[in-house]
Amino acid sequence: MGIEVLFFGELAEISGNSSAGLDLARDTDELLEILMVKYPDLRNKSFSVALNNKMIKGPKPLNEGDVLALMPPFSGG
Amino acid sequence: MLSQEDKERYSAQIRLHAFGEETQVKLKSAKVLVVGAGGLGCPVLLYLCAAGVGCIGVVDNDVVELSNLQRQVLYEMRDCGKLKAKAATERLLALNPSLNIIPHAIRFNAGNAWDLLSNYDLVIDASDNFETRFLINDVSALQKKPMVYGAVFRYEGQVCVFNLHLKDKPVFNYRHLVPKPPESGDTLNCNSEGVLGVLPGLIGNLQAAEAIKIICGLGLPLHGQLVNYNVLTNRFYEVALNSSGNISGPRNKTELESYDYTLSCNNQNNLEISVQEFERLRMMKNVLVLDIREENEQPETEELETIRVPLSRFGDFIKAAEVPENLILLCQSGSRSLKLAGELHKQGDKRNIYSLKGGLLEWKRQKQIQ
Repeated sequence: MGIEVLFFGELAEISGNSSAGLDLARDTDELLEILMVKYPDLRNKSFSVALNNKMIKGPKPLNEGDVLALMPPFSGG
Repeated sequence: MLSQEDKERYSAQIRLHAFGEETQVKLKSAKVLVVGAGGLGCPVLLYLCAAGVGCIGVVDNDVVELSNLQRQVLYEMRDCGKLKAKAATERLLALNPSLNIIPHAIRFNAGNAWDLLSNYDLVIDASDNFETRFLINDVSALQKKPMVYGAVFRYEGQVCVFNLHLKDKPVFNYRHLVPKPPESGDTLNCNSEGVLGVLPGLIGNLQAAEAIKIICGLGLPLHGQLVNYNVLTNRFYEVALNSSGNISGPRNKTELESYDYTLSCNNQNNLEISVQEFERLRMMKNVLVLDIREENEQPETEELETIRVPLSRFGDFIKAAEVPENLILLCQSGSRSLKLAGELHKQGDKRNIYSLKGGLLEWKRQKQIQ
């Protein structure tokens, strides 16, 4: 199971895919740190984080099967 | 009240369950401001106009270019070179002449945003840069008028409703989605980045639907509910925003008007103007055209009225001279002038400072074609 991570916008280019499966981590902060190590270019990007379709502020505990979405701001029109 | 023509024109929607003539009257008395008449604005405007929104304001200071026609479906070949606000108004009035369509061929900025929005009940963010998006949000939040947000990036788009006041529900602000403007260079725009034309078409239609729902009191608006759409996978992904925590931003009209959106967003897209815009702007009063190339640089520009202020002496000039409100900077290829425009904005220069995109080489090239 683990955690499914969804990458939106240009973050998908950094990760090379629109989603990735990762092992369960303690909380969202730990998972984000794992992602930054795996994809160093993420560090230079600003994005919001949603856990199971809800935007989060600060770390949240993770459970098997959770879906984490990383969403950069869009400005085009 | 609806006229006989109204009843016939809108019969398809009036006939709908839970719609009826009284809902059509709500549309007829609604006043909607659409900021941006580009990729998102075109479908928004078309559908609001077709549906019978009584008063529609169109804000855009840009002119139609050939490369817009791939997605900006309001315009035709003959509109190239025309102001979008004017061309859009003509087209919309041809579709529905009974409406009050008001062109505002100006840039939506901190100085005019308050007065512009005060004449309307709802604003649609169909802009293409963070500076304008933050400004639309802040003025709509302060005036407590709903904002229907839409944005695109390559093959993806977003829609959401902000600053809508519903009983017993929190109010969501664009700053709940984007707390502060991204660093310069962190984000890109459609023209440099490319966009599939149908995508802003889809997102703009979703925005029009949200606006119509809010005006008519129909269904559930996307209140604090962000919809992400990917055209390649045809997938929607919804995220509930989090309204907890404090948000920054101006707290009243005075703060809004003195808030430096250009500085905080430093959007290069807004600093550059096309040759067509340049041709229009340079004829206006209170505009100074400054050639910042060093002496003896090519090409010569006798046919263009400019003031030569080489970059190496620019600092002295800008301090000493009585410089008007609007400056256009020129150099050979547009890169030094863009850099300087960015620096002046950063230093807090409140003037409208633009750089001619592609520089004098591009200007010469386009002049030769004509």
